Amino acid sequence: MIGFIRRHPLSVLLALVLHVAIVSLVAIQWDDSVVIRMSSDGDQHSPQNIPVDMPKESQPMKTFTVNAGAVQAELQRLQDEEQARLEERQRLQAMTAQEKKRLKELQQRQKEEAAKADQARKQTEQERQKTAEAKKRAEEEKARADKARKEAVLAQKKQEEAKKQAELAEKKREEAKKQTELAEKKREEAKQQALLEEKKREEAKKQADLAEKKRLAEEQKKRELEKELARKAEEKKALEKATAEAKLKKEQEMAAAALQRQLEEEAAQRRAEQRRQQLASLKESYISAIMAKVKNNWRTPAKISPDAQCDLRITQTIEGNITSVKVLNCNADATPQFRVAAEQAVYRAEPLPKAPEKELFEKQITFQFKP
Amino acid sequence: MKTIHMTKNRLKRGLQAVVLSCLSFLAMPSMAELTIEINEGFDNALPIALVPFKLEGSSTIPQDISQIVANDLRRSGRFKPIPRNSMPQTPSDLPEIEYSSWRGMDIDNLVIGKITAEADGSYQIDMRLMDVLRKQQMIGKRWSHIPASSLRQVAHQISDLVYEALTGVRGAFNTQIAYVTLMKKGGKRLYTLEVADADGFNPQPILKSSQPIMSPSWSPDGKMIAYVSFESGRSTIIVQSLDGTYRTVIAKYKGINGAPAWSPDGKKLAMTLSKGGNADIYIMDVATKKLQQVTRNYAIETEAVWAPDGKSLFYNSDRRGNPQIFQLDLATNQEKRITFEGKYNANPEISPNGRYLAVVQGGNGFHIALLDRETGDFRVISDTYLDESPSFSPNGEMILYAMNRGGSGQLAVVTLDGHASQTLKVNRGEVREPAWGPFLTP
Repeated sequence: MIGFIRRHPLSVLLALVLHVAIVSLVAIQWDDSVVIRMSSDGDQHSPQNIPVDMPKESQPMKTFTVNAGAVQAELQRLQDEEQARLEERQRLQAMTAQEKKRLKELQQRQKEEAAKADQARKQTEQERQKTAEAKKRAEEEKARADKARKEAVLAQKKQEEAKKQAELAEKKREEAKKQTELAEKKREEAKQQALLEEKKREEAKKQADLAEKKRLAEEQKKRELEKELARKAEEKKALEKATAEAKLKKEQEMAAAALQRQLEEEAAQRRAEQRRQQLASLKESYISAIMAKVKNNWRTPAKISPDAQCDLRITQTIEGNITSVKVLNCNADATPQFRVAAEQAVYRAEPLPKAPEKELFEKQITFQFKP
Repeated sequence: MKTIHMTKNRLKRGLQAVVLSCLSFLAMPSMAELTIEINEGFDNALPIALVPFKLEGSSTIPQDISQIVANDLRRSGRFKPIPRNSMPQTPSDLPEIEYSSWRGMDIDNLVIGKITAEADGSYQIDMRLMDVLRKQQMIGKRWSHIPASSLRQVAHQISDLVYEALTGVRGAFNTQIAYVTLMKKGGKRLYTLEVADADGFNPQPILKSSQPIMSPSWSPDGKMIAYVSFESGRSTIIVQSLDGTYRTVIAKYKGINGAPAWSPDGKKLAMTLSKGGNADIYIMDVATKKLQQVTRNYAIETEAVWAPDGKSLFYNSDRRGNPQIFQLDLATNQEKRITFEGKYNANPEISPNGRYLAVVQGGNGFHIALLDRETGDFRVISDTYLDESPSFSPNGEMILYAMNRGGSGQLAVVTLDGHASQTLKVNRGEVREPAWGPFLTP
């Protein structure tokens, strides 16, 4: 065994830890509702008292009737629960014994393995053996402690059970007291109920008064509302009338504006037409002035047929200076001398009359020339 | 005198007097220089500048060409040449012309030129007619190898060119006129038939006689002149070349031989003959001398002229009691009266274009009247007295005629509208019987 432990110290240690863990898991109660705690002292694990609405002042004991069936059932239930707890404690004791046994076997196997390891490794594993033994002692100590703790737990559970019995009796007394108080409470409740009904009647009356008042108020409110609606209708009517009047006025204003615009447009058109006619007249005068000046400068020694005529195309600057003259479209009576003389007359008329308006200026003017 | 606008009695007395004269002209003084006076011109005559031609290669020039041209143009009445001293510059070539200066003087046209003396004594003449307004050259021409004696002729040609360019009508400055001068000295008379330039210069006598010379008539080619001479003691019609190489009597019939007129083709002569006892119009074929009588009337028909187309004759007849103009259609032999206004219309002359008929109109003196055959307008165009022998210039623009001023015969030129006139006269003598010659070139 020791030889085995020496050869496999890590495995042995791991196995030992695993066993300790399993034992610990078995020893720990994971569910309070299931685990029955046993304690003989009144520490934090003591059962809680059932709260009782106790009067502030000590009341004199009063007799009351106890339901024997219910008490019996309650006692039966408590016995069942006690029985269940006993069974559970026995089962745990069995499990603990089994575990102890298994631990002993395990320790025995470990010892054997350690002995084997000792034999195999002899001197080299001496110290490890000591450690293992110390560890074994510690484990044994722990096992003992666990055992003592479990025993203490069992003793505590027993103590708690006794306390619970006492508490149950106290509870029964308290229940009886509670029944008495309940009856008293019922009387009080009946009294309170009567008061309440009176109060309800008063309340109903009050409600009726209130309803009447409310009805009157609502009627008043309705009248006021109707009045308000009438007023609003009047206001709306007045507003609509004002709106209609405003709309009419606006339409009239728009119509007047449109008429004004139309009149202004017509006036503008008239002015434009007058301007156009004025310009046309001025332009006619302008061209006539040019033609007259050219005619006034007509001079030739040649005999010209009175029927001779040509078109003269004059190109001029804005100052009336001539840049070119072309004689075009002459009829059969226009001799070469006539053409030359016409051209000369234009040059002689330089500068040509200026345009009365800048926009009337024509850079190129063509007119029919007949001396 | 080309016309015989007298009554029968006056005609007979005149002829008798002429026959008694003799050919004593050789002893008389020679040709007389004509002096021209410009009387008036057109109101709207065109100002023109004839810039003195620049002389190159010589310090003197025999003829002042630009002045001759200026005088020609002034005589036409259509131009008003400006005095030389008012010219702003005297350019002779294009780049020298300052157009604005001329335009400022209201000058439309400018004639500039150069005369270059050549080594052989001849001259080269360059001329340009400039349009001041358009700044363009209208004419540019050069004459080379011109002898000094022909410089005047070149000047007249320049005048013709300028005139035609500006008026559209061919100029008649380079033409000649024929006329008869009468010089009286010591009780003797000398008649001279002369030919001169149209401006009166270069007079050349072609016949001198102590007896009257009448009715010179130019042949169409300008080389011959037919006229009436009394050198033989009676009227004869003679045809003479201007160069003096030819002279012949073509009509020396009994009675009157007068008023010769060349046909437009130069092959025939119309004339007045009284060999039949009455003065009538005859046509003679110049080559064959064959005569054809075209009028047969008891009245006097004389002073015939050919229509430009040669198909009819205009002449003077007093068959209505007073002289009036008639037209005879040579093809149909139909006569029609042409003039109706006035009691006396004689000495007809037809314009080259056939439109105008100039006559001597009597009544309030004798004046030149013009009938527009297109419009029927008939009006007096001369304001002189005792006018006779109208003769159209070959371009039909002017009429040369004889008139009397201060008891002395002179010549006058008037435009068809009567707006311009000039007088040609000789000192110490009279000039009459003018005839304007044809164009010297076709």
